[in-house]
Amino acid sequence: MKLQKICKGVRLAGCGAAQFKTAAVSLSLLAPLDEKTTVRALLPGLLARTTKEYPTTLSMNRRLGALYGASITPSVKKQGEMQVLTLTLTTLDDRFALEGEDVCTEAIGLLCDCLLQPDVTQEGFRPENVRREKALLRQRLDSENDDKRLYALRRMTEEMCRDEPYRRNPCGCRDEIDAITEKDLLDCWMDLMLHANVLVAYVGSLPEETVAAVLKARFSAVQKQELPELRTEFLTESYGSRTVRETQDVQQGKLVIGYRAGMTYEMDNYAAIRLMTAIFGGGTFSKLFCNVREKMSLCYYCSARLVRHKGLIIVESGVETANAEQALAAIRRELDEVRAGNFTDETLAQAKRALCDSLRSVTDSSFSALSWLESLGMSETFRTPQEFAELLQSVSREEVILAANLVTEDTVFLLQSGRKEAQA
Amino acid sequence: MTERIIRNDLLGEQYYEIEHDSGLRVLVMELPRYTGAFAMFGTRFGSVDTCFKRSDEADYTTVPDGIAHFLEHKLFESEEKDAFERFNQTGASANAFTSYDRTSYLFQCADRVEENLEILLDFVTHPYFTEETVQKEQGIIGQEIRMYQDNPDWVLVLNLLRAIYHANPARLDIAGSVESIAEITPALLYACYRTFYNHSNMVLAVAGNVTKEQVLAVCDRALQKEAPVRFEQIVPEEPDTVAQPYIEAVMPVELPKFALGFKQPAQPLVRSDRETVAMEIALDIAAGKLSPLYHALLEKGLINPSFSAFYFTGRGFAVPMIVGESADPAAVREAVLARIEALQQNGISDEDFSLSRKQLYGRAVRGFNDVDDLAYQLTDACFRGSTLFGEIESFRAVTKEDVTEMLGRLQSANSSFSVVKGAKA
Repeated sequence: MKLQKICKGVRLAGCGAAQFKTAAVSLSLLAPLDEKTTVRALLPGLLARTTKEYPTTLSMNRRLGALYGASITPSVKKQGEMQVLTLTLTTLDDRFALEGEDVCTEAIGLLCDCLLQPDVTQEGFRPENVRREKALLRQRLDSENDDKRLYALRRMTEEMCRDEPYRRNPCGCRDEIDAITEKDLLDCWMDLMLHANVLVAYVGSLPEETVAAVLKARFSAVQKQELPELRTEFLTESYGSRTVRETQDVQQGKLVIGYRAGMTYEMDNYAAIRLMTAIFGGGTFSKLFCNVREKMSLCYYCSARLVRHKGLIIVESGVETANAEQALAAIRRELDEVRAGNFTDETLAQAKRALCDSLRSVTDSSFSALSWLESLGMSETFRTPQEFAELLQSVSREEVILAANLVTEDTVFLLQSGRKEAQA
Repeated sequence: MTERIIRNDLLGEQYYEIEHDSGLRVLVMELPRYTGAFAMFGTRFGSVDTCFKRSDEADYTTVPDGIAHFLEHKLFESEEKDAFERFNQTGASANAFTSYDRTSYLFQCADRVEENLEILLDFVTHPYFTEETVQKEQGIIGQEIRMYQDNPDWVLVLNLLRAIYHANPARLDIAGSVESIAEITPALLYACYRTFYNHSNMVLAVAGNVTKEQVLAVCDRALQKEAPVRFEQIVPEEPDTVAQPYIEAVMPVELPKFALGFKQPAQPLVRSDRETVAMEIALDIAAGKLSPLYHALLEKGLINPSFSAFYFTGRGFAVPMIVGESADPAAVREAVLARIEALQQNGISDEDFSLSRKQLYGRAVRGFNDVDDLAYQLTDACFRGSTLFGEIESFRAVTKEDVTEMLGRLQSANSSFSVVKGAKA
């Protein structure tokens, strides 16, 4: 795995891996989470579903079909306070083409066309395509309310970070969609072409250099500017915990707790905090699993994870509304136990083993290897899974306890089951 | 002990199929380029197995709905350390799942594969159930069931199967209900365990950076020879027509979700690779991303990219299914049925056939990327009486006539439509 510069503003994080029968390539544009989030959120769909050469979804899909069912999938997410717009290609390795076709390089060329050769005129993107993407984005925003686990997680984040850019949904605001014009989208695309850093992640059996050569040829025509890295604001400490409750017609309640992890940037005290989170609630050895799930039998899931890019720790649990207060008290008690150092050396060793084992398995799946490259390629410091494993191994028990004592509870969000709509 | 090598030259892959002296079938795929390994230990026991009779017993046993899933949870416990605690010593990540027709126990690890295999084989072959631990589990599983009940996609498919089938146990919820799991006792768990967890009803599949010798050495140590248990499963009589054409649920969803399913002949109980591949191609031509139907519905705003068509199959059930989200599910249903009828009348073009076949073949090859997928597919193919390469080979063998025959099985008069919508819609 390595990171290389292709040209100004374009980097490639690649991993040539002969075990895979596919190539997976993602192109990501990195933008700030700001007031233009909604207009940008429309772009990946617009870019992925047609190109100048294949101007309808049908012609595009049939082209992908002929490339042995290659897929180009648009997505939008946030990493820290960055909005990340991604097109992900998965294609068959040339070795398995039945008629000796050049599937891989053809497909990578098509992916580049999506970003660099969209079907636009001077007036903007085609109205029919814009109409379609607007409808899809509205639906996507609406359907975010359907999965109650994700809904509760999103609501907690909005409440916790209500004064930070991180509160923003990377898919934007529903109310802003209507006013966006074809020309706004063209301007936005042109602006991103010049001013957004691009990260390409690649996992496949072609050598990284072959992919780098294709990218160099395609991106050299774009007069990109070199831009500074986008920064995320880290709040190290909570100003005091507050609780937000909502009621919906659901069978099971959802309890989500947000903590500030005491970090000032994404690698600040990272290894100690990562291990502390694992001991608290990140695996079958953890306090939350062993005590809140297994001993108290309160919930089917109750776990903690670290959001490294923003310095948050988030606990999620599905729990009967009547038991929510009991579960909250139990979760708080378990964190206090970690702060007090009430965990065994064996638990610390187990946490290290589990984390290092899964780090070493990253390259056993093309999807997890690609996610790793995307996430690390956007970070200030690129590290391989092996380097992360070494960092984790070096953490002492005292460092875990110190890290736990930096963690402060910020926001509790409870989705309760009942018949009423939202309440204060 | 006997062994054979199963090979596919196009993919350049092979694996061993071994009949171990213990009576267990063992599949090993040596992949030295990977870091770690993935192992899956599975039994042909799922939520559809609710009534059975052993050859050494006079009476039929009927068990509460959801018992296979309950048993899966309980098997992780033992009198001493539970399975999770043991895997915590090695760093492997372990899990299990229960589906309609099987229960699978698995782990993924970067190293110490023999140690992990030993834990896997040991905990699955040593049940330990008491009144107290059974009662305690009812709380956790009760929460799991409530979580599924809040999941609209889960309810959508469950309802579709209830609409298609009158009596087939595929219409039961995999995890059962809070009421049905309350009837589970240690004695019932042991009765199921002794019948379905016999080696002759199970398979072990290991893929990754591991050798056949390593796997067999652990099997030799950890497994006792078992006499096969014979049993018959009771399959209720199922009429040829659907139970109801339409079923609806109201849940807090913004956009209605729909699933259209077509009833299929009850036999064979297990579908062949060729039938599966032919049906997948038929569905792809009718409603896949290459079809004019998909394009038209997408442009009209009637569907979004969640729209998909697939052949949902398992032991004893098979439903070609088209699912998606739409503000107007009835309009989508009508358009899909019209497209299928037109294809049935006019036939399939050679171009559509070869393009869909090529696309689906490419996707099938991608399934050979990851050790977890491979271990799963090895187990699945074995349970279906096929091999890991059966599906890939069927893509070469399948003909347009096979696909035409499958297309003829998509009869609107014998279909069911499931909709989940919000209170407002």
